[in-house]
Amino acid sequence: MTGHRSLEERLAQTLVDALHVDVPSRETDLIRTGRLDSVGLVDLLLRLERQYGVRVDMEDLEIDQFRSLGSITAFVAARIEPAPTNST
Amino acid sequence: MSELLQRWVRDHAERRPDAPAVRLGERGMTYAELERASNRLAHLLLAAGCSPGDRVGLLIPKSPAAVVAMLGVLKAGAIYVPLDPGSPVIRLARIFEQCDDRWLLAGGDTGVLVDLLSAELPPARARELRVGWLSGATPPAVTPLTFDAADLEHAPEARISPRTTPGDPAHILFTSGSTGVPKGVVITHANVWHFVRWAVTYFGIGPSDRNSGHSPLHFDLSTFDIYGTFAAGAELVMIPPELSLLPHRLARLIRDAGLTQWFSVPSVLNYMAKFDAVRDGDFPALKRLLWCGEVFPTPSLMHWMRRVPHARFTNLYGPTEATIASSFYTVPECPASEEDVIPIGRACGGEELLVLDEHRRPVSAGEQGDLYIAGVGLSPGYWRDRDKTNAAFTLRPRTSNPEDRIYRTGDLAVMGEDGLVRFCGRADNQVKARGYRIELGEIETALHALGVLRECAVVAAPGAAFDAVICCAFVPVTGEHPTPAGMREALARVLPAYMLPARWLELEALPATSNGKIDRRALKERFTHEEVVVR
Repeated sequence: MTGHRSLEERLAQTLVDALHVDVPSRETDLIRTGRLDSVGLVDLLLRLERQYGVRVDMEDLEIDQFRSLGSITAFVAARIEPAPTNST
Repeated sequence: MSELLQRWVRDHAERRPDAPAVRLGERGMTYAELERASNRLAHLLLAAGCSPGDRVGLLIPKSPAAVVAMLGVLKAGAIYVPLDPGSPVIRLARIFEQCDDRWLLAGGDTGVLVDLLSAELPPARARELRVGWLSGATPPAVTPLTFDAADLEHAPEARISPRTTPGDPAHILFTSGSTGVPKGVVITHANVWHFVRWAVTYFGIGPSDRNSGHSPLHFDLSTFDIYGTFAAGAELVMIPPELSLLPHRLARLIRDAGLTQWFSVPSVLNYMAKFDAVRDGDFPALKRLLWCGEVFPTPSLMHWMRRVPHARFTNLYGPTEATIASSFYTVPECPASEEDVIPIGRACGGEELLVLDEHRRPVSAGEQGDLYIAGVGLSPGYWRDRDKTNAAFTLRPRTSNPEDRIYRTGDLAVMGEDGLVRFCGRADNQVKARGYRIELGEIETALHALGVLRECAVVAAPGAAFDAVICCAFVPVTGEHPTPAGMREALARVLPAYMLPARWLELEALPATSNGKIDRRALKERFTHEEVVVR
């Protein structure tokens, strides 16, 4: 749980750095509120690959996987190795 | 001979009532259904006191219901003003007030937005507001409704005789204005009618066509999607806006829906090419691919022409002020080199392109000049703004005919010996980013209004997947520490999302040219460079 929480915090920071958007809550719909558009999505995918080692094939993406901080966290968590230091 | 835009639907509803007219996903309407629903809406509007020439704001997400709204307003003799549900409410209220609107048609998920908009209007205006709710469950809104979706179900369906003439305005489209106030371009029935008649004939659009509806409804490309489809008795397949984020999903939709015509800004086609979403021999049903609004990068065009060799590729050009498009160029074969410049071509039927010097005299072939447009597409001007209208729309030099007007596009162009016109850039600070026309000055005005910046400059620089990304360089006021995320949030309250800068750079001073102006070229290069280095 600790690992998941810290991943979400790191991803929130990545969204601030990559997209320059504040994320009011983990449920905020980033797409409907105009925070995440195609320019932002491409930037975010690049960051996920470079910072998190998560290689995303654009072809396999679904919109809902990127709709909110919560769904992005779940998406990334399912694709990275569990962090040994944080998992209890 | 020109007619009213609602006429096409009526004709096809009589001849082929069960033919599909418009759909979004599983929800679709036939021509007969569209005709009846728009008649019912017109009856409700008339019963509620809507008069010819009244402006009616449309706050409805892209859907068949939005098309019903447009046709219903036209049948009532009124003028529709498509509003972008994604725009900040302050901007919507400003447009609404500028139009002196009293009517608002809403639906889908815009219930909350209606309340916010109503709260943003001066109290006297808010009291006059008449809201019609067209689709979906009536929201628990505070603003009282004049009629709702149930009323619409039960209204009379009898045909309404025309209450306007072809020279009357059909809609007003708002575009970015350099001083921070959006400009309303008035478009008449005849403006649209002439272009659509020409295009349906030139492209050979017919009843078996399935045309894409990719553009947002407040954007003038959608005028052709809608009326170009209805004039031909074809089917309009609306593209859900969120799909534009995912190039492969867009490709799948084109494939699965068997689209025969695609029309959009080039940036989405470029996006699909860069992420390799188009397969060899893809989209077997696709007969033609049209783009408008900005330059289609030649390497991406070549990619498309190789992958989809059976389609016809046509570049359309023209500002909103001249209605959809004023010139066209069908690319005869795949360009030989990535350096090839695709012309904007020749004038469409009834239009004329003029390349003039600063004294408004024609320049010689091959020389660069200012591009002007004349002909049947010219808007009567900006809504209730005589100064801006007179600055952009003037009489043709040495004409004695007061109707013989020309419109200065602000684009620079060259007319070749071959009679083809080529675009050479802008004479001002306007840019196109993902097809949206953006006055960079409008963004800078909004940034300065935040009160935390000593200096700022907004430029458009090429990005990884897009040719123009909005970038902002800024110098904070001493003692202030604004963050890009904070400024973006603040800007999002006044500007639409597509105008928000995506790249930010804090500097101690902005670079200056030798005569003391902000060196925008240097900034653009800096952002282009950062794009390569950082990402």
